[in-house]
Parts: sequence; C-alpha cells; structure tokens
Amino acid sequence: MKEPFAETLSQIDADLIEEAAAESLPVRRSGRRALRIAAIAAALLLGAGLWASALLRSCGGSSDPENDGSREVAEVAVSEDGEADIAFDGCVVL
Amino acid sequence: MDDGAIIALYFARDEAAIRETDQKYGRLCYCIADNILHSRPDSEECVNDTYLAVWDRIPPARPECFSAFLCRIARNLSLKRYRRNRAKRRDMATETSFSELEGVLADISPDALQRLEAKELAAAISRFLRGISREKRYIFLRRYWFFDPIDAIARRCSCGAGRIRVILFRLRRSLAKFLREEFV
Repeated sequence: MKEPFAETLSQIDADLIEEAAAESLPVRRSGRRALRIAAIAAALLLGAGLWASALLRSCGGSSDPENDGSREVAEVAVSEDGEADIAFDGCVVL
Repeated sequence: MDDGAIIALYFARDEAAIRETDQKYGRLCYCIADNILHSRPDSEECVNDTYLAVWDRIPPARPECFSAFLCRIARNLSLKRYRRNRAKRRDMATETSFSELEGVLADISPDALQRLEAKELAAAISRFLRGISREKRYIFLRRYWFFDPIDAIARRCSCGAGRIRVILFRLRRSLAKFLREEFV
C-alpha cells in the first residue's frame, strides 16, 4: 500500500460518509446535561413555591399549619345614635 | 432541490448544476477543506476545484450517494493541497489528526502493509465501522474523515471533549486490533 492512511480512508463505503455528513444526528443526551436540566427545573419550582408562599402571606394567609388560611371578617354598621355596631359574621376562606 | 435533480442538471450540461450544488453542499465542502487546510483562500479554491472535478466526472459517473461523492472529492483535493503546502508550513491540528490515524497501522508488519491494497484496507475499515454503534461511528468519521476539531465534535454530541478523546482512543485501539486480526 503506497497511499498514506488518511487518503485510504477516503475510499470507505459511501453510505457511511453520507451518514456522518448529516448535519444533525440524534445523539442521546449525556447524564451531565440531564442533571443540569433537572437542577434548573428544581430551582424554578423552588422559586415558584417561595413566590406563592410570599403572595399568600401578603394577602393575610399563612403557611402556618395551625392557621387554616381563613380570616374573620367584621361587618361594621353605624347605628342611629352614632355608635358603631360591629358584628363578626362568619369567615372567608382565602 | 434533491440530489437526483442536481445530477440530471449535470447530465444536461446545465451550469445551474454547480449553483445548486453550491447552495446545498457548499458549506459542507468548505468545512472539510477548512478543517484540513485552515486557510480561507485555499479552502475556497479547493471547493471550486471540487465543483470543476464533479462537472468533469458527471457524466459518465452517476453517483448513488451524491453528498459522499462530493465530500470524497473535496477531501482528496484538500489532502493533496495540504501535502503540497506541508513542505512550506506544517499545521499542527491536521498533523495531530494524521499521527493519531497513522498510529493505527503501527502494529501491522511493513511487509503485510506493502502487499495490502488501499481498497482492501478501506473495505476492512468499513466493516469495522459497521460493527460499532452509530454514535461511535459518527465520532470516528467526524474526526478522521472530516477532520473536525475535538471541541466541535463534543459540541455536536453534547458532551465533554475529554469523553470524545477517550472514545477516540478506544476506537483507535479497537481498529488496530481488528486490522491486526484481519491482515497479520
């Protein structure tokens, strides 16, 4: 064989060359990449949870397990003699 | 335009054939030439020489795999030019790829190597490549057929360069063993 090996390689079967010439090849994702995607998804979920919790608190709710998230609503009425008449009337679940 | 239609244009001696070839495969041919030559003017000239060679060969040739036919011409012309340029300056990236590849034949005796026809060896390499996974075949060919840099292969395969180096090392070792068993 007189030709250098690199030139000899040119003569391999055409279908093999065609396959490798294809621009995109479906190769399986490496474990590291899958791990990175999972970490980003977990961070996003955690962020969404914290945001929802903060929103709940700002609306008067609580993440405290002893508080069921309901709030008493007072109905205020002013009587004819000017005294306030405050009556608690049930509660609203947030 | 599909490959059959482009080949028909060559048969009709229509110069639109070259335009269509350039549109569809120009980038691929340029990449092959540039991976070997690392010079824009040389690579562009090689791509033009490739079109001229295809124009001269079709007809009578009617390639079944037009892209492979084209890539093979681009690769051979680029290697020829590289060998010619090498006397003046050596390109370390291409040299590294060459030396990795030549090492595969180190275990075969010089006598056996002399008797061996290039076609025989190419057929054996094709058999070896068919016996490995698609991903490994892709990595081997992108490195040693298309002369892609390792980083580029790693990006295409969505993995680290180190992993590609390990796979290539194991592939070279397996190919050397395969060829030793075939020809010694």
